[in-house]
Amino acid sequence: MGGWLLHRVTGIILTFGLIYHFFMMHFMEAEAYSYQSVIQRLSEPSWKIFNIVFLISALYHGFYGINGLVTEYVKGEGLKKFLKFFIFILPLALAFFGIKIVIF
Amino acid sequence: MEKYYTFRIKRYLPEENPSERWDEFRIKLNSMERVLDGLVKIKETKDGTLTFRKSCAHGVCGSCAMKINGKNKLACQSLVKDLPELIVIEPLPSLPVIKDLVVDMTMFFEKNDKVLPYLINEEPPPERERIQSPQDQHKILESITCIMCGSCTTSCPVFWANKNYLGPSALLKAFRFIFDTRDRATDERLARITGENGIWRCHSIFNCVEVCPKEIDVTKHILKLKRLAVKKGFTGGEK
Amino acid sequence: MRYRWNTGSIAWLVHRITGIILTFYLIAHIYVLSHLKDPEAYQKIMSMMKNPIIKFGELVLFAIVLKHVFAGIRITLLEMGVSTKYQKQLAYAGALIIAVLWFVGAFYFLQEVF
Repeated sequence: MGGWLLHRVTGIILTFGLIYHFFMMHFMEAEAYSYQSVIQRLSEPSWKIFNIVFLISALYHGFYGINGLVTEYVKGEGLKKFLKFFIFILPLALAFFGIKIVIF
Repeated sequence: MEKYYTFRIKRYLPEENPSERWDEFRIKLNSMERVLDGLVKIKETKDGTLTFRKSCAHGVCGSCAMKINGKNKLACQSLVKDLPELIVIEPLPSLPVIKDLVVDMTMFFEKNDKVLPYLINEEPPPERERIQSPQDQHKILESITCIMCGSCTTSCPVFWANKNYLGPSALLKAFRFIFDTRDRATDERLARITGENGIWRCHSIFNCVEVCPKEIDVTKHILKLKRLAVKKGFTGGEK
Repeated sequence: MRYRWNTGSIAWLVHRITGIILTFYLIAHIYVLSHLKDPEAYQKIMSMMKNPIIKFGELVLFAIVLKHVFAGIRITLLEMGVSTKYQKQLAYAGALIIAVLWFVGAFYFLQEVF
């Protein structure tokens, strides 16, 4: 995997994604948040693609950071291996659930 | 102008019980004198068992690095008149202490060895010497001024937590050879510093820059290494 | 161990802590969203979001996100070649922008309540 570079790239994606995310979630007229219009919005393919890219970037970025913390702060080799495996599996599982939500 | 200063020194005497304690010494120093002069005065007139490293006393050998008032410094470069009346002195952080202010630097020098701190060039040598232009010399001039006192590496929070991290000093040494136009082992050097405990562990904290007695901008050099590594395809695949 | 703090080390520590909080928040966020299958549950969550305590929590989260984003921008700029001479100024400028954006954002957030 791209590691460090990908961490930076996902960071940039997230910065722009967040601006969009915040505007869509908080700064619009009240009726835009009714169940109907939210479902309507989420069913558009462009939104689905955005949400999936946003989700995967966030998971990669977040868990790359946690991976670094494990590298730096966990002392025992066995525990380190276990935690690294765990934080490799966890984002994959979360990505699976997340994509399931987006696609329905 | 002479003035009294209180030196609060962290002592470590392995054969005593308890082995750690704080000692205070009150001594008179003039405004031209440095922390190192104070330590020498204490050793000569108050307590002969006080142990610390010193050699040149002019900021060249890098022996007398220690933590002075919470920050790594060379004792020979710290004028007492710039410090408050209470001067707190501890050994360099996070290295094993041998006695008082003397720390075991083995770990520090081992990291230096890991980045191959010598010129590698298999091409047949020219008749006189491998010429370097002043411009090329200028690219690495700042990194050459390093005196390897250990202030930077022991000020780095990443190194405190993870002793496997190469640390600013060794990475600066790697820079010195990677950006040396006469050196031919760039790829091998990059492979050595782009592992899990190499340049990617640097988070641009700038503690090393704050403490360097030679005022080297270490972080700037590590950032240049990161850019070169990415350009050469080492993107930090440690996961 | 006591060691003197600098602009850079404080920025790094805050960046780390906010990053950890955000990763845990992300997990919770995905978990909550996975329970939004029917209109009733959705309405329940939306009315809960109007609760002042939740609003306050959102404002704290907003500050954390801003802080993390701007710390990231500072580091990325330095890594892309902006002179390290300006690392402290970048941190201060970031803090200023965060404060302004937070107040503007907080105004909109609170509008949702009233």
